[in-house]
Amino acid sequence: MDNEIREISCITDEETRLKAKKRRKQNIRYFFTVLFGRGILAKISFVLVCIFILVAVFCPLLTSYTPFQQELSNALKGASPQHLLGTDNLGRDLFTRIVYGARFSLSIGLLSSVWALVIGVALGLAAGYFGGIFGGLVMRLMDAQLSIPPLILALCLAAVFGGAVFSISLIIGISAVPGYVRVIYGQVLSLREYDYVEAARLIGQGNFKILFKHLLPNCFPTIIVMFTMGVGTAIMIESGLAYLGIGIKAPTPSWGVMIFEGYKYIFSSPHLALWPGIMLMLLIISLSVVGDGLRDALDPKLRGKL
Amino acid sequence: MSAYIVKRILISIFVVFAVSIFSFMILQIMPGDPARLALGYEASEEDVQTLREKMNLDKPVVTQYILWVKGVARGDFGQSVIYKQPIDKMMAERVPRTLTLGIPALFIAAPLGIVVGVISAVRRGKPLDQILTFLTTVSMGMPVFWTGILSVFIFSVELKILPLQGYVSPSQDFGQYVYKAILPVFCMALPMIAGIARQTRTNMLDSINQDHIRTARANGLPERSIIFRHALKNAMIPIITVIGMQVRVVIGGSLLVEKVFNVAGLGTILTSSINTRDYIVVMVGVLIISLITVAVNLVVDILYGVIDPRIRLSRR
Amino acid sequence: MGNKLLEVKNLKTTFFTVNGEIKAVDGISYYVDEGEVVALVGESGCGKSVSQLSVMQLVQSPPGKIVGGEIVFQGQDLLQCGAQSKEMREIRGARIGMIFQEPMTSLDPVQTVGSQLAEVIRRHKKVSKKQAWEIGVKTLEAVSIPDARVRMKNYPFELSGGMRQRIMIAITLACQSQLIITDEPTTALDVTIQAQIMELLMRLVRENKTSLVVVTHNLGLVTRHADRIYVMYAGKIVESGVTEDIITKPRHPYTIGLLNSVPKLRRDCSEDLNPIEGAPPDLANLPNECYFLPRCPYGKQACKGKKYPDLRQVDGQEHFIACFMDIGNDEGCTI
Repeated sequence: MDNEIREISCITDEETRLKAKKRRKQNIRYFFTVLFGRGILAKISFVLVCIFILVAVFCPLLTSYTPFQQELSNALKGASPQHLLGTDNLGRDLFTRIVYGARFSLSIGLLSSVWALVIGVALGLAAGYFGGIFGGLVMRLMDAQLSIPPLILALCLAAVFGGAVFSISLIIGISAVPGYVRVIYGQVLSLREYDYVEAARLIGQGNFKILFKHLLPNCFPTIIVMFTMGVGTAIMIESGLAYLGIGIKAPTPSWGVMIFEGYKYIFSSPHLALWPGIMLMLLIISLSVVGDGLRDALDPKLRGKL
Repeated sequence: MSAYIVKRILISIFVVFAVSIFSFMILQIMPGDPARLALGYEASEEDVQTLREKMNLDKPVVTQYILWVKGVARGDFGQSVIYKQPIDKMMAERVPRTLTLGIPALFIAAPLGIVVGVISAVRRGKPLDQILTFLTTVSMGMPVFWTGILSVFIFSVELKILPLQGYVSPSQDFGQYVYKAILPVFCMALPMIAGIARQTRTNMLDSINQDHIRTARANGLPERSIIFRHALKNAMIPIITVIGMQVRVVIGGSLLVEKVFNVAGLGTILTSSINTRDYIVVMVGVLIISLITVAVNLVVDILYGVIDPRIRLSRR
Repeated sequence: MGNKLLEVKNLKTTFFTVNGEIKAVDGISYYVDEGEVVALVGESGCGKSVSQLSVMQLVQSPPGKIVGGEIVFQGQDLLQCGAQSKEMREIRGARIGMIFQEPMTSLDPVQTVGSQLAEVIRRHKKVSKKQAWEIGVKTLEAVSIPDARVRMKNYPFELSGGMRQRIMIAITLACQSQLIITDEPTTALDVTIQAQIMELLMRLVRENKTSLVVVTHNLGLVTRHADRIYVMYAGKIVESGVTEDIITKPRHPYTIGLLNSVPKLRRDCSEDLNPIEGAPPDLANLPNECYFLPRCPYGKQACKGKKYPDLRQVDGQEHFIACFMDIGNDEGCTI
């Protein structure tokens, strides 16, 4: 029945263009209604993500300290007008370190998602499109990688490649590659059977043209959603690495490092561990809520059901 | 079905082979010389050379790999250069600690996650679903170590009802084991419950919208049978897949949980070996972990066949 | 004819979607007598399936909701019972059976045919598991399934589409439903199988004096089997009457269009197919006039600006149309 309702489209010649325009407008409205339609939580999350991004971009403007500036005489103090959230064991301003932590986490999250996207989509498209032994081999390798927990994989690689933002993001990115490969591979496999791809091949379009003109655009909604979700996951792995002190080490202003250092003072100054933890949690949760919203808004299967 | 299982087993063997190469590569590309590390920087060049020969480090890479695999197959994992003791002994001591925390977490999380997911799906859009969905989202967004620290802060620091850290083996003192394991197991189970619940909800909603559920309704079947006998059974395959995937998450999370609660398990030894560059231990650790996940995945694949007759009866 | 088994009065079912309210069924009334075969005809999306799901109260909610009307079955208003009520559950399957369009997906893929059949039988009859199984075997034999005992142990994916549709029929048969609703029962099947399934269904209906509602867009099917026809367009009934009247003397432009667009086997009739121009209206934005006007070949200036026409009686007793005009299609050829 939903099908029948959805199928109703308007094709009358003179009205086609007007209707198409209206439809586009409707689509955009639908997109935003669904994106924010999940109630107050979705709206708050969207605002939070925006705030985190703004903070990460403009962090030097928000504070008069640097994240490394020590003031031992002023260590382990509570909140005061000079230090909004107090100071840590080395007298560094906690607020400043948290603000710079947002920059660190988001840049690692975004960069590693980009890595995962580029590597994963390329491999997935190739494996799905060419299929055969090559496709099978790629997929088995992904299986093999999936049998190692991402955190442990990142841990081993981080020990080899060290802890600069560039290499850490690549490492975390690699651990997210199988997800992309599997999804893209599946999509390509199912799309490959569709008539319009067959038609494109019949009129003599080359493999690469078909790959990029027909198959890739169809994967876009999935890719966008995975990317958004991936940022949150990457930040989670980054914080895990930082907490374990591998790859990312003190005094980097990473929330994971701060939580680990702060945990030593859990009895006397719990705010040292709690504030960065709360920020970490808020960022990851709001990213995943935004990702959920995006998925619902971009999922053609859900259209007409909401 | 037997052909299907054989195929799955062959794939598993390939995966283990690939992982063994990967973990062996760690040793090759890691900076530093294990022999030098074992003897310290004051040791003479000759001593280091002798040890290198003893550890087969002077042989070609392929020979080294074959010798290593042969050793592992015999149960001889080699010797830790830092702890100066056989790795199999270390593992025999530590792996059970990780398992006695991880397995209960898995067995608590799987049924609980499914129940939460089913409730959420059945009450779709109602306040109960919204509350459960909110809780799942929050639980999934909490890094394991943060859950640990938060729960320690609440239950140990503020309420003082649970221990801060530590581990007691269940065979030693079961009561103490439960007392000390509550928080770590909770921390490992929480993201799993959330992940499984989420997957269950999605698949139950898909499943409930299928034509045969409409048929079942049109035939007046009771709601309980529709939900559990028809909808849940059809939704089970992706749910089991996720439960299998969660095992990875538990093992990854065990590194963090063991650090928070100061448990000397597999995770701790892996972390410390990476830090101290005791790569032979890392190699074995990674291999053990991937063996566990591969075994779990094999069980999951076989369960597919048990649930879905289309897989069981296919001749592929 | 006999007693009214089912009477639907002014039924309204609306889908509340992000893009607005979609009035899938907009105030339709019809009835089914005991032992009668009634057809509901129209294009996809005209609301015929939704109206039948509404009778069973199986419209997915949200987004769908029955917003008004009465569904009187054997003197009882089903809408008063509520969709989740015990009464409704006992009516579904036992007194009203439903057969759906998609035989490939209408059976649970992970349960054997037998266990599904037996479960429904045990739900509505006080019998043991073994007895239910035996009844199942008998009904499978009644719907002409060979090797019924073996088939009981098969999974749906091991059977053909026609076979599965027979099993769907067997389920309604096993519970001795007084009313069977079939939603495009043969559309998904091969033409030869279609005929077999229809013959089987009609034989069982006539034998057991069951009433049957056939929802379809296949006019050929309807002409052969139905006693009366309701033609639906955009959520409303536009013409109704006994089959012969509708086929030989259609009075609504839409019905005429439908009949003209059926391919005919005889050559002398007409050379070309005459499809209805245009497409059905957007149910979310219905005009405040006759919904068919934009596509109506007879549509006159006079119809413009007038509100949607009410059903009015024409010709015979049972013949109703919702049209302002008087179009008789006396010279039109019949199938």
